[in-house]
Amino acid sequence: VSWRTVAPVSLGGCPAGWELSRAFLEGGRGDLTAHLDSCRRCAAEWRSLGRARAAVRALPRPSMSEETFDFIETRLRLGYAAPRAVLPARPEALPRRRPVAAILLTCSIAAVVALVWIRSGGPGKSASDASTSWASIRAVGDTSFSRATLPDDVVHLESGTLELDVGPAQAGRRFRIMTDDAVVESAESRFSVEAEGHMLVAVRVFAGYAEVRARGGHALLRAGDEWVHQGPHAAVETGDVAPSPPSRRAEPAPRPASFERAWRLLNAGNAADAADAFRDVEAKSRGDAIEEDALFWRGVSLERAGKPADARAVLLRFTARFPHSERIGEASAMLGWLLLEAGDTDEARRAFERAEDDKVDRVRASARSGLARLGR
Amino acid sequence: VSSRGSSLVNGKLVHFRRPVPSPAEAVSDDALVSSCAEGDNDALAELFRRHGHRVYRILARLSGVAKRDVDDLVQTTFIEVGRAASKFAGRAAVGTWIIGIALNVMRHHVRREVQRDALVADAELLDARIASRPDEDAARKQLMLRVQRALAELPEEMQLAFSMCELEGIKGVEVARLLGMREGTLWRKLHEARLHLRAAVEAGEAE
Repeated sequence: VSWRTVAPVSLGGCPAGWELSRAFLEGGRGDLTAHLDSCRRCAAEWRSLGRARAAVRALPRPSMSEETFDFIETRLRLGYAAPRAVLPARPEALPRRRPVAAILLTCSIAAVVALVWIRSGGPGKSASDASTSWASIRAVGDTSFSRATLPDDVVHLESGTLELDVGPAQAGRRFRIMTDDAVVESAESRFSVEAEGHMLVAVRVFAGYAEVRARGGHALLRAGDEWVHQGPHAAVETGDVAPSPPSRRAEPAPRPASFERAWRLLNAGNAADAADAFRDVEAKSRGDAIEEDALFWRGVSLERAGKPADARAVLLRFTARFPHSERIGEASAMLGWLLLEAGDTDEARRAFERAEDDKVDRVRASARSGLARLGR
Repeated sequence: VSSRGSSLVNGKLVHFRRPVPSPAEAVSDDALVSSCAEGDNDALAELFRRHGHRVYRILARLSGVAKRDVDDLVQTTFIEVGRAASKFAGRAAVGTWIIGIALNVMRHHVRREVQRDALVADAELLDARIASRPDEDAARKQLMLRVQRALAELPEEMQLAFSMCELEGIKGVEVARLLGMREGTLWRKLHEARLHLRAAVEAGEAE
């Protein structure tokens, strides 16, 4: 141990290693600089540490993809996860044990809904104007739409063009325009939405922003942006049953980015990777709607990836775990065909019978076709 | 930031008018946090726009976090930022406070699940990315691989300290506070980390 290692730098001693490290980052040590000029050992140490630092800085720098950035920004901007602490208390919270007041309020709400329904012309009819305190809608020309305002404000657009002026987001409420293939969501914005044959054709944003979600993809449109549909609305092909995309569902919760990634893989035709990605989503989301969706789409992905045995196993698990799912018919019909191909006619019959009375036409048709193949 | 959603299937995005610049640009971080506390989602999105990339980089560099989880962790971090905004006391810079929330989110996540297979796959993928870089010669690629592995060998706390101080330029006093250690301890740990990395660099030079 030489005197240099114990003496302070101000008296000509060598700095401790950590002092050199700190000087590397924060500088401001004139005494150290002077010491380095006079001490070859410390100067060599300094250069050596500098090389290590340079090597680390040359490593690939991780960066968030633009797509992920947009995805997260959109969700934050639309307040999908609005902090509960800042939501105002319900202004009309009813005291308990007052059933009469509750009934009256329920009746009032029903009347308001009915009034809005009538004003909007009901389904399949043209309407010119429909407004609430936070969103006004103007139908351009021969436009068909319907609107429900509770609990969320949801407009189902069938055809034509709507011009919308939506006020600031309200506590716990969302404003959405839905077509059969897409959802447009916004708050505090002015925009127009055009549809044809229940399919989204165009969205133009004049002020604020709007998010368009269609077939698993999404785009955040700002003032001055227009989204226009391109090409025919291709059907999702999955054997005899074409599952509807998740966006058609009631969307109980925002899907995590990992789900959207899996969904993009599937849409890009990378079914095998999509199946793995959905498995990961499923593993992380026990017992919620995300798990239900992920399990279903994993089954679909495996079927598309040419792995019928795995697809059967997953869809069987889905039907057992989520017997009351909105997708039980779709899953059962798809499972029926897979079982039929595997020669398990008894199980295939049971699966088709579960889907026989599904509310969706094509699912019923698929199930009946399967049963017909089985000789019924 | 582009607003284009490249993943939007069957759709094309066109501008029919120049987008209006965000008025939030001139607002300070502290003012944005205050707005967040009042439920302003635009303010929260603006905080994400300013600090999201750095949070992403810090989390993505940790060897204990599977890369496929980083997107979700970043999103969760900013949701938590919105929830915690009313409690922000201004004792640290907003950027540092957000990183603190990200570290809590990350620790909760890592405690919940250890995904060894995914981490091994991540390391292999990173190796492959380095190995495939056309702009580096073979010796340089070897050096980068050694350094990458040496970084991954460091304890999580040292990885974080190194990443935040060396690569993100956050002041030592703030990093020490984030990691719950004294500043002197931080500098000593950083020096240990640097010696470890230097050994990796020099191992190649000696060959």
